[in-house]
This record gives sequence, C-alpha cells and structure tokens, in this order.
Amino acid sequence: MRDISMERVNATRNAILGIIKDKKLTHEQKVNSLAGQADSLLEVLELPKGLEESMNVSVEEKTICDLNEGHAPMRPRYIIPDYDKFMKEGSEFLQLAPPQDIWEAVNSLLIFYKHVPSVTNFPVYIGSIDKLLEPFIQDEEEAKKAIRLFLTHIDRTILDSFCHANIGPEDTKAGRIIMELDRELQNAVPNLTLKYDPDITPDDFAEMAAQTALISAKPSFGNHKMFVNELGEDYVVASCYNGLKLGGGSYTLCRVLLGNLAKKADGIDDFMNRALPETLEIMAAYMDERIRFIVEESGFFESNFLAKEGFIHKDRFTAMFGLVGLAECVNLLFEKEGKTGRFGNCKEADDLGVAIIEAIDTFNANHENVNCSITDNHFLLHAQVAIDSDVNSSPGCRIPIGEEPENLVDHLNHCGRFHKYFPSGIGDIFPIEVTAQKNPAFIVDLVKGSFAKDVRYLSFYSSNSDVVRISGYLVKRSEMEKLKAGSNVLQDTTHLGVGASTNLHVLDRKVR
Amino acid sequence: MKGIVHKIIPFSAVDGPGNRTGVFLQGCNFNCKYCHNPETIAFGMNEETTEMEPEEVVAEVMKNVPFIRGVTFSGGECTMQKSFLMEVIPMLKEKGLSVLLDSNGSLDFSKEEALVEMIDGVMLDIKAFDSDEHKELTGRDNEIVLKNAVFLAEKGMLTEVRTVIAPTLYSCDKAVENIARLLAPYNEQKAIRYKLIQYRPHGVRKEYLKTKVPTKDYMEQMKQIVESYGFTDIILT
Repeated sequence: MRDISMERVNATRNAILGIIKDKKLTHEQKVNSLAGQADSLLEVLELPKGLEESMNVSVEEKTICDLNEGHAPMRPRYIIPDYDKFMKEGSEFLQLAPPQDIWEAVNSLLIFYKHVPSVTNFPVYIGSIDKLLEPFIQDEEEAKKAIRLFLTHIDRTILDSFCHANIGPEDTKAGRIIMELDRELQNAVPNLTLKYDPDITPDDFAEMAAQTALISAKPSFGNHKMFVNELGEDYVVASCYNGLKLGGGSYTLCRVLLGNLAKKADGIDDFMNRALPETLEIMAAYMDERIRFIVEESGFFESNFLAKEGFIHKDRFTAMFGLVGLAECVNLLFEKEGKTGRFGNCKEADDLGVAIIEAIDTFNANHENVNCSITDNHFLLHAQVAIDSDVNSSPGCRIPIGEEPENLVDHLNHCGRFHKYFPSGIGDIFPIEVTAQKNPAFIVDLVKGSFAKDVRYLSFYSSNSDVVRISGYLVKRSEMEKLKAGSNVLQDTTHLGVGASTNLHVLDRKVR
Repeated sequence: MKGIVHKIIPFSAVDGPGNRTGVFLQGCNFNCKYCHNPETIAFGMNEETTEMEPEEVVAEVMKNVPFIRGVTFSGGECTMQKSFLMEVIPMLKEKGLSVLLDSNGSLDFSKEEALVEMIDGVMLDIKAFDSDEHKELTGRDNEIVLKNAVFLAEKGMLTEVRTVIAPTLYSCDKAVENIARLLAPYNEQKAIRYKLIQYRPHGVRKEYLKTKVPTKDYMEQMKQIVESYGFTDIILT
C-alpha cells in the first residue's frame, strides 16, 4: 500500500468529525459517510499513467470520474440478485424457507433486501416485483394490504431512490396493484420501470402506467424489445435506468466528462484523434484495475452468501463505460471551429455528437476484459445521469435544459439517434402539462412512436406533482424544502436532489 | 384546392384521444361570446394564416409519425372548408392515420354521407340546449346541432360531446341536463364521452375577461347531473 501525507490524514480526520457533527445527516447517512472516509485513506490500486491529471483535479477540469466508488472497492458497484431463485429455494444463510403465502413472500423479500449491497450500500435492484408476488395473490384485498406495507417498508428502510423495481411487460394483478398503490402512496422509493412491449403489454395496462407516472413520476417506460435484443430475456433495469443481467451486475461505472475534455482540445480533429482516444485508454485501464481488485483481492465473490448460494455469479458481471456532457462537448468544439450550431437544435452539431459516440463505441468494441465474458468481454456504454456537484455537464447525450427544441417530435427524434448505443442505460425525461392527466393514451402514443424509432427509455412526470424525477432518480419537492430549511431527511437522494436543482436546473425542464 | 390554415400543432393531448396533430382551420360561422381563439373567427387570409395545398398539410402531419395516432381538424369551424377537408382527409387515411373533426355542429352531417364515411368521428361542441340561449351565446340557432348529436350518436360516430361551462352567460345546469337526457339512450350502444370545459379567460376578447370562472364545486355539480343520466365517461377540464 502506498503512503499518504499527514496533511491528508488530518484533512480526513477533520472531515470525519464534521460528518459526526452534521445536523443534516441521519445516523445511517453518517455511518455510510464514515465508511467512505475510511476507504479514502487507502492507496492500493495501480493507477494508470495520466489518471491523476484527469481525475484528481477541479470539477471544471476533470475528464475522468469514478463517482466516488472508492479506493479499495469491496464489492461490485451494482449487484442484481436472482430473486426468482430465492423465492423458489429460500436461503440457507438467511435461514429462510421458500415463502408459501403473500405475507411470507413480502417478508422474505424485505429480509433479503437488507443483505444486498451496492455502491450506495442499499440494493439497486429489488426484482420484477409483479412476477415475484403474482403467484401469491389469492385474496386481492389481502394482497393489497400486504403490498402496501411492503412498498412503505421499502420507502422507509431502503433510504436511496436508486433502488429500482421492474414490472411487465405482461399485464398482471400484482402489476395493477403496485401501480394503484404508487398513485396512492407517491413515494420516491422504489424507482420503477415498466418493461414495455406494445405487442405484449395491453394498451389499458400501459395507459395505467402513464396515468400513474403523471401522479407519482413512475413507472418509466423501458423498450423491452430493444433490451432483450441486446441483453437477452434475463435483463433487468436497475439503479437509474441501467440494463444489466439478472444474477450478475456491474463491477464498476466510470465516466468521461466530455464537456471538460473538449476544453483540452484545439478543435474537432484534435479532439477525435488525440484527446478522446487518450482519455478512453486511461479510463479503460483504470476500470480494468478496479475490476481486477474486486475479482482478485476483495474476496467478495468468495465470501459473500449471494455468490456462495448462487444468487449472483461472477461470470454474469460486466462493467459500464460512462459519459456525460456530450452537449457541452459538441457546443464547445463547434465554437472552437467558428461554427454556430448548438447540440439539439442543429443537424450538423448532432451529427458530430453521433460521431463522438460512435468513436467511443468502437473503442469499447476493441477493448477486452476477460471478466466481462457475459457481454463478449466488452464494457457496455452508459449515459451517466450526472451528479449533484457537476457544473455544465448535461447527463449523457441529453439536450441541455433550457435549449430543448420547441417541438417534442424533434426532441424524441434526437433521442432516437443516441439511445441505441447504450445498452447499460440511457433515458430522457419529460415533464408533461397537467391537462394530459385526462388523456394517458397521449403518453402511450408518444412511447409507442419513440420505441419504434430506437428510443430506449422514457420517463414522465406531471408539472405539478410532489414527486419529481431529478436525473435518474426520484425526490419529493416537499422533502427538498425540508432539507433546505435545515432539517435532516430520510433519504440520502434528497441531498442529491437539492444539489441537482441548484447546479443542474432540473426543475426548469421544458414542460410538454 | 387550398385550405386556409391558422395553425398546426404537432402534438396535442387535448384534441381527442391519444396523441394527435391538431390542424386548426381559419373561419367560423359562430361568434361565441367565450371564444378563446377569436383570431380564428374571420374568414379569409390574414397575417397569421397560411394557404396550404392538401399535400402540404399531409407532409406537415407526416413529420409527427409514428408518434401520433391521428389528426384532428378544428379551428375556427373546420366544416366551413368542407371541400378542402374532403381532399385532404382521404390522403391522411391512406397513411393509416385516424381523422376526427372538432365541430360546432352547424353542418348537417346527415346530408354529408361522403364526408361522414371518410372520418372516424366527431367531437361535437354543444354550446347550449335552449334555442334562444344558443342564439344569444353564439349568434346562431342550434336545431341542426342537436339533430347532429342524435345522428352521430346513432351511427356510433359521436367521439365526444363538449360544453363550455360559463354560468353567467347561459343556464349551464339546464343545458347540461337536457343534453345528457337527449343522448342518454345512446350510451348503451357505445359510451359517449362528455367533456365539461370550465370557462377560462385565456385568449378571450376584452369584453369577456371578467366573465365568472365556475367554481370546482359547480363543475362537480354539472358532472353529477350528467352522471345521473347514465354517462360513465365524463371529463372535467
């Protein structure tokens, strides 16, 4: 292990004391933060040349970011347990037999969730909950009560809205109950995706999903056909909107900050031929090293019961090669070349955006990591949703807030140009005018048309709801107000929401 | 023949079920006191209108495919440009799009077999039930409007009935009750959607800015009247 300076040690000690005394943090949030501080003292990874200058610099300069995954990763970033196996076989470690009725079913799942780690220390995937619970629904009223308690329990104990559940594509009683309860409870947790396929999902079920979204900002719509085509039937949507394999997950997610990278290039050619390839190499090498540590040194797969009992398998894990700020990158490169077009409103600018993504896609197709055998030894591209401290970095390939095209049709067609490159996740968000609440078929038509044009994932919320979608997770406006007024709040993602609404202007999206 | 178009809205959530492109034609033969787009009433061209060939309208609409399920013609009163409609509608139908008309009901649809055959339904604005009140409110009689309501309901082509609720301009409760009573028998054949639109001063002429906006409670009362006649699909907006 490499030495660190006493200066850094003392700075960390001060940070720890600050956390302990912070009135805006709950006890659980303090404990999680303290763990992060402990990890920050370690220097065990072999960092590739060029990483320091790319990553450990100011927020306006950094071109590579590991999203605070830690200096010595002790578990994969995203873990996707096979909950079906658990419901059918139970767990020896948890001393649980397979559940026999709805109460045992929800109880077993809630227990299991407490043992599923991730980068947030909470599960980022809690199952296709409609399919998990459907076999146990006998009396609908009783099932509704059990599921209401189940959802409330999740919201009050999984204290992070990156926790994600899936429903669909089939119409189920459980799916309908879950959506009905979402409309009633309007909780930020869990995040919810309807795996939508117009050939499988009946229109009235999809309309119910749209109507539910306009009240509680979920479910989002995932393009089932597209995901199945790339990842197979056993894909899930986890965390923000990440496509991953059931029984596997992702070791790591790092991201390139394309807007900042453009600052370091003279123009388009210099960017495409020097700055970009260099940075991609450094980040891929860094990700290789992070994966190596998890697989060879952390001991996670050897000791954790999830792996030992077969709820996850090392050979079903992949890694996510992320990016943000494509809009800022294109706009800056255009400025440097003396061109006037802006990303999202100019075909030539968008063409450059596509060319950049294709270059990154090609790089990944040629980079191999044998620990990602489930995805042919390649990383998967991911459009990262930005973080609260980002400045001038639009999520993924999104058009910057404030510059959205006048007509929604142009915006959706724009999405269609980029979504296909990102099997491990990309999505766009649209606040919808209140009048559409009486016409949920409007939303379903938008989704059908979009999915036919290679759009992968769409989220909607009403311009007047309490629950809003920040960038890939949900927060309640009322909780943000509490935090701003000085109280501590239950979910750590509320803190991120406040930061994002200040820095990323997420509450200023164009209402459609 | 060309149509005189006031505006085309690519995506609309309020001009019929689903997502539809709204084509608003210029010119109206009514002069409703509460009109919220009075700039569409005058016939002929002005600085806001565009003359368009049917092919041009189709080309504009096609930009919104596959996100829309169809087109709604509105205005103004779209049936005032009947010949234009009869040229452009078949072109849109050929593209697989559904076509609805939003109409004040002044054109006797029972005498317009060809037009009725080519569309998928009518969203009918019934402004008032009593003939005198209707004349006072719109400048025109409503005998044909009510005849159309029954004709379209019989054919299963009455996609939606709409009435603007503005209690200081006419007796809304009596109107809504009579309209509901008139159309109640047809609900069995196909549930008719009744949209009760709360009067709002957005876009109205100066003289009507102070017209009273009905309360939420009043709107609920109107809804209950309609419900009592067996309507199950009632929208308050």
